[in-house]
Amino acid sequence: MNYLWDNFFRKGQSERTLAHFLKDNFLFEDLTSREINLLMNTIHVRKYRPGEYIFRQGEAGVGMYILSEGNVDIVVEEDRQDEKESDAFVTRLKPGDFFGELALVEQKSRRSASAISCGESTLIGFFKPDLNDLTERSPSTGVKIINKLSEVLGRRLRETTSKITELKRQVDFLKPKKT
Amino acid sequence: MDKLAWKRRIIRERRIQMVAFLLTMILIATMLLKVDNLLISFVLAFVISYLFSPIVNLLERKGFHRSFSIFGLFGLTSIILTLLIAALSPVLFGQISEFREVFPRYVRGLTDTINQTEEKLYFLTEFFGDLNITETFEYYMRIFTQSIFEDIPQILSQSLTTAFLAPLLAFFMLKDGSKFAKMLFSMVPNNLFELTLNLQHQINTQMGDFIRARLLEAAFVGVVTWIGLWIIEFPFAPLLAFFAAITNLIPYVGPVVGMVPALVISFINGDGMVGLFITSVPYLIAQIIDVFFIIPIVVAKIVDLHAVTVILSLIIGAQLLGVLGMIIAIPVTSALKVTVTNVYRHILDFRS
Repeated sequence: MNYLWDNFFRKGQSERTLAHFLKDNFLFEDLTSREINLLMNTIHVRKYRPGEYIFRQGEAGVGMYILSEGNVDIVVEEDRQDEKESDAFVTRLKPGDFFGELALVEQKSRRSASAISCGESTLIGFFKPDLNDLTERSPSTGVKIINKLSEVLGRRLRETTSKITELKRQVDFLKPKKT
Repeated sequence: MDKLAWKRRIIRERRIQMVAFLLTMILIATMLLKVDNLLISFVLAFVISYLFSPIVNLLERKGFHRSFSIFGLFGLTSIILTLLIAALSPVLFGQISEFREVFPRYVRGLTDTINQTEEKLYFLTEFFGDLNITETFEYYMRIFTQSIFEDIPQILSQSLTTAFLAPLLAFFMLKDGSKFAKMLFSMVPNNLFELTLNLQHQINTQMGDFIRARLLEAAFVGVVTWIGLWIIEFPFAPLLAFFAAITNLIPYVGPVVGMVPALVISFINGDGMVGLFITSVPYLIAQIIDVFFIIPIVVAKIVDLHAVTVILSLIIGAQLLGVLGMIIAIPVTSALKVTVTNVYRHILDFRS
């Protein structure tokens, strides 16, 4: 299931300045340097300790995070009836990856998985109020980001559909054939 | 470091961050309450920045730099205000000098009315002893006049400080407000960060809408009252309308207080019951339109508070900060309501 979270937009950047880092991100690659400066005034840089939750599954989500340094584990906490199952590991994100972007477009978004910092990590938070503020101040910047966001969500949806189709095919194959 | 040690460290760091954040907030609140003129300047700066922010955003959308837009807007406002003062000051000074001329007549009229009332109530002395209304009135008038003259230098210095400080603070709120908010957010522990950000955004939007709506409402009441008083040819119409507009910012009590000076003038002029009724008509029309159209359409949608909550918050606001407390009681209560609701929801989410 890993590839659902895989970032096909990663560009192989390491430690650069924040402006360059943002410009290199798929979501913001169309922005001009003036628009990047505007964006830098709205984002939040946060540092996390090993094992610290960035957000928990089921919590209300306000925005997305871009991983700048370190790694982040995405896990789905499963609770089946009385017995609490162990968390299902989904993927490990690397610098340049982003997650939680659905919260930017959903009305009352809930986190579908938990994100846990794996080692010391630095994340760039970009939130719905900030996107709204940015769109109000510079509609063209907002539209560019929303367009890219739609592209990401579309890609994620296509990947999910293709994975479900594949799984369905495998289930059908494993089903005992009626004689 | 093992998992448990990291967990302990995270909890310890979060506590330290929370304490630092709360201490900073308490320090800011204490400064606002304790430093002279700072709270009123801050409230006024908020009002100015909320009023200007849509215009600054509009200019920014048109391609102007934010700092340039703010500078331009403040410059333009200063020019307009100077021209307005220059244009209105002859009218205002005319009204003040006219008022100075008729003031002795009002005082005489008021004294006569009190004497007449005292004569009419003379029979009550049998039950309550000597009433001495005139003496009591004179005593309180003396204290009132004395305190006004004693307070004039202080009021003037306060007004000048506020007039200088409020626009300055508003300028920086518009220019660097988001940077300051980001600095405060950096102190919030990670587990409460999204909640705090969302809260700040909700409160900010609600405050902005509320302030703009209340000012629109006050302006409307002022204009309707002015037109009404002008139609019935009542003296000092602009001054009285301005006073009504300002007092209208205080819910429930404000509209009544706003009407008092006109009724007093009408009463002293000896206009009689019909005159008093005619004087109150412009105020009543303004209030009817305000209560039945402006409040339900514009204000009620922004702040959804029960009438009892409004009255209670007004009483508490008046007790703590006087007239200013009454004006800011509603936005502060609605901000508290948003905070409590969101924190409660967050706790429920966390538990679920």
